[in-house]
Amino acid sequence: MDQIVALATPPLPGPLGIVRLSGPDLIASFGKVFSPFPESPTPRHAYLTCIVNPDGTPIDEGIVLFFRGPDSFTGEDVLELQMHGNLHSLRQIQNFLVSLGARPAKPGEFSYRAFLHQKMSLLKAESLNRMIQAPSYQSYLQGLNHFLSPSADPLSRLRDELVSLLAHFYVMVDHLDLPEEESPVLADLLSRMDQLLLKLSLMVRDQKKGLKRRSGFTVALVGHPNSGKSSLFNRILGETRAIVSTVPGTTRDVIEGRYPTSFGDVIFLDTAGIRTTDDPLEKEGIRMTRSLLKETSLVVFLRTPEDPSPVSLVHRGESITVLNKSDLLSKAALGELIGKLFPGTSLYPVSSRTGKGLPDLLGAIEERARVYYEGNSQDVQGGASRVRLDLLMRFQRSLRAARIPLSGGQLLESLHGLEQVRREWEDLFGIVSHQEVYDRIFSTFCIGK
Amino acid sequence: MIGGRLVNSWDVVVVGGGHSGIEAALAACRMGLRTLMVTLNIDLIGQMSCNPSVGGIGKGHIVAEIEAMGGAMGRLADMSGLQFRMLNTRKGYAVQALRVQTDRYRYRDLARRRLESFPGLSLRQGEVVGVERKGSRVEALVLHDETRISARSFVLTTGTFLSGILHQGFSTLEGGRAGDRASRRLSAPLSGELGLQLGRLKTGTPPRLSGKTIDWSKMVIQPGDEPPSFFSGQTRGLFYEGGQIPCHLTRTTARTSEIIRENLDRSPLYSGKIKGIGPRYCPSIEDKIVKFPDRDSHHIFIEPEGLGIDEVYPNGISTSLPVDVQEQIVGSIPGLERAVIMRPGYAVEYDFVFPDQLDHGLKVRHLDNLFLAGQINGTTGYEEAAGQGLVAGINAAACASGSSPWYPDRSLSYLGVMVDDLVTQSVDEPYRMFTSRAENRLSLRYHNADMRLSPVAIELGLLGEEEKQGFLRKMEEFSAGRAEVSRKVVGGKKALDQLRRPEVSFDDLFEKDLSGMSSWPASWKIAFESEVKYEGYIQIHDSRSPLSGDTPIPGSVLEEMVPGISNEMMLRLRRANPKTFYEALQVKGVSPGALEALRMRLKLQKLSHDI
Repeated sequence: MDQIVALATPPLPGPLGIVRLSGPDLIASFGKVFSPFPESPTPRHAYLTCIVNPDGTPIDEGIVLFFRGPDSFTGEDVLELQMHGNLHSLRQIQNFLVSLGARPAKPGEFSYRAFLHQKMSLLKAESLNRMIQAPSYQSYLQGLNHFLSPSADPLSRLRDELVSLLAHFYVMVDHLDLPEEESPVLADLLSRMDQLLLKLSLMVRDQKKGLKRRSGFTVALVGHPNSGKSSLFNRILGETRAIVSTVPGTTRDVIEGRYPTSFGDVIFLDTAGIRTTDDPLEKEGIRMTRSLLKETSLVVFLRTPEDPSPVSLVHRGESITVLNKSDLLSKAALGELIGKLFPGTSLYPVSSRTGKGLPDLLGAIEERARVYYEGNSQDVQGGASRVRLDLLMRFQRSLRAARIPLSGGQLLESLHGLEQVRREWEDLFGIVSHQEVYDRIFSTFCIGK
Repeated sequence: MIGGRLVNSWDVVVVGGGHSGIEAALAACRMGLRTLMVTLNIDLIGQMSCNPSVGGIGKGHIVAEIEAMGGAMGRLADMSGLQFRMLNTRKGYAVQALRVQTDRYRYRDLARRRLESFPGLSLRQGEVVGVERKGSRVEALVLHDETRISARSFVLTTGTFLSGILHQGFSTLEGGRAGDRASRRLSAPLSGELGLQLGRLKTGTPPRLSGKTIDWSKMVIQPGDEPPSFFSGQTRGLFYEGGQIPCHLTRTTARTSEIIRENLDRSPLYSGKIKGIGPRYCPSIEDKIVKFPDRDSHHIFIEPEGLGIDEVYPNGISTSLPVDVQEQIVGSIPGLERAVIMRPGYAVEYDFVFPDQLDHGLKVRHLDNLFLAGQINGTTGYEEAAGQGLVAGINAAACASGSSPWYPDRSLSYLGVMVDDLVTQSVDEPYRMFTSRAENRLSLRYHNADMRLSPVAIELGLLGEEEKQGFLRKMEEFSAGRAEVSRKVVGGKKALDQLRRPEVSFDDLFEKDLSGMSSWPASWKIAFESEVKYEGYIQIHDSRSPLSGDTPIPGSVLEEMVPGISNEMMLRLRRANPKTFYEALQVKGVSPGALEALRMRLKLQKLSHDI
């Protein structure tokens, strides 16, 4: 294991910026960059110190905490540097630490190490991620619940079924002394396996669905090029200091930003502009946007006084129309335009530049978000993750393979198949010991003469 | 020393004449060592303290392995057998095994005669009361009559006799078995002088009944297999004229449950008087009634105790309730209304040694020459005891002669599974063998025990010349048979491929057209066929994932602090000293989390090796 470093706080200016280091021999490698700092710092003690260049000039002053592995988040030695939240000084600190041997951590690597060092099960690591990413307090609470007590996770019920299945296998191979009416037969095993497979496939289906959908209330900004989508996007999110990130996965990147409300996040998606064209590339772009719109909760169509025509895109879901750049017109001209072009429609004239009309628009969006989160609590609980889906699908494949001999009456070959992929289900569920299966047998069957 | 002869100095001394002691003494003696068996009562060597049967699923596998290594149990059971049944015949070859109902008196008699037939093996009656230790070596044992017996290595097989206490209701009696006194002075030196950590276990046995007072017409008859199969290839048939003796099946009634519930306050088990932990898969009838209150009935098998012996063994009503309650229980069972109890049932509590203090040769780790085998290691069952006796006997002999020990491999034998489970995992209830314990189940078959273990036995010098030649002949015939079948085409398809199919049997396929093979004994045909059938699965098994159970754990890993493993877990791991990841999995009290961390540690190590 090497030493890794990463910024733990968002890369935005703020009072605090936290840099974390994890790995072996941290004090030997990095102790010298702090001044003053003891040679063997007391774990979990807050040291007010400076981080200094080799020539002794300070980079920043802050609090440094040392956690000695395994009593740390990652299970390794961890140094946590609570510095000032200036992006330049934070970058300088990270570069400095890298020059001394640390490697920039990959996304999620701290949690991954916590998993490797058994500070967290995979499931727990995953619930932690879901918790952090939760789009509403409600779904956050659910993630927290899974994080604090893994048995609340639906996966643990799947594990339970597996233990029962093994118990039935074991009883069938080892215990003849049960009365006939109580002793399981092949058909019981098959139906148990099918039950398990059914539950698995339902879970896989839900996970897939959940992964496809961005969880939470999503709003797509759609309009012609230059209709001011990005300015509106930045205007809304800039005011709320939401994190703006680039979400890869489509041919043209979609910009996503979160606008927190008291009910849950409103996730704004900034799409590329749409125009009438014969260009095959742009047509493909329109197709992509259209498929994106299927997954969004609300579409905001942007028009402008410069080009008030609608985009050539049919959308059957919920939408509202915004007349952006309304500050280009006088009040009278605006009224006239609205009367002419949008008689009887609810239209929100806004100006991204001045912010005029924005509160009304946001109010309308928030109202819809409220309705969404109140009526859709199930929907946000999906708890989908790529890791979980992969593990479930691997388990599903191997369980199907183990079922094949069973359907041909080959009990032992089927059990063998199941045991051969023990690693796969143990990644998902943790270790299942012989003792645990036997505990299940004794609580289910009256074994023994 | 008298006249140049060391009277009481031996190569190997085995304490105990039960199933474990018999195999231990025989193994040491067959390996050419001067061996002495010390036992409380020579007349009771090979006594079956509980049910008169040998074998069964998992257990029968062990008997086959003992037989493959030239041990006694299989042949003794064959030669005293009253009924033979191959179990699990519909569940696949790998979990099939033989169970034999035996004549317990004949078994005992044959066992003693077999021991006495070896010139290098002597018997001595007496109770061991003291141990002399010098450094890490046991020098001698001291008998109750003050005789001092020295040896190069020692095997203790005390069974249920170590500080044994018998319970019947609230009356208790010192004893190792009904009618037999306990070994009550040995526990102290074991825990004191030898520094062994002892625990307490419990087991029970049902009342024995008089057969002539039973109404057999109310029971379902359970006959043996026709023709019978035997543990040993040398057994030719029943030891007596006439057919096999059947068992009979009856069931407890609602009245039985009532009687037990009414009398639970008189049960030493439920009043908390018995502290030892009993085997859950061999529960007393009071346990069954309490734990499964919804069941109105439980099976009882009536098993014969001996040829021409009136006494029978009702398997399924093991109890430590007072005798008057036992009378009522028996009276409430169809067919047993008028049955007379000849010997009441009872429970026995006894001392055992936590087996994680032993190495994989069943030697006490911190001593050079003391081996433990059988129920003293926390197991239950004659077969488990005998299997350990064999392992301990072999290693005591190796120790006495200065050769290297033999550690049975868990991927090659049930003996290996058992020893490995015991020494790495210890026990918290009496340990019984199950096929579910063996992850390599498809390879560890009853019918291929000789192919797995006889080569080892030959190397260790355990097989006589005749046994050795017999085995080698069989192997030659098998390889010739294999070549013949490989060439063969039946109905336009390769015979070997057809035999792989689950529904095709050896006889179906070849009937009479394979020269020598059609006259093979049935057990050979099964061995051959199952070998072919499981081949595909076993190959898959052998090429497991990058971190398979047999990934070795270098000693250095256990010495360092592995991140994510607490000090306590690390101490447990170090104590168990697992050699492979699989062994680590079996270590008792190590959390799944710690194992995961260890797995990651090994994975990383493997990765850095591969790079």
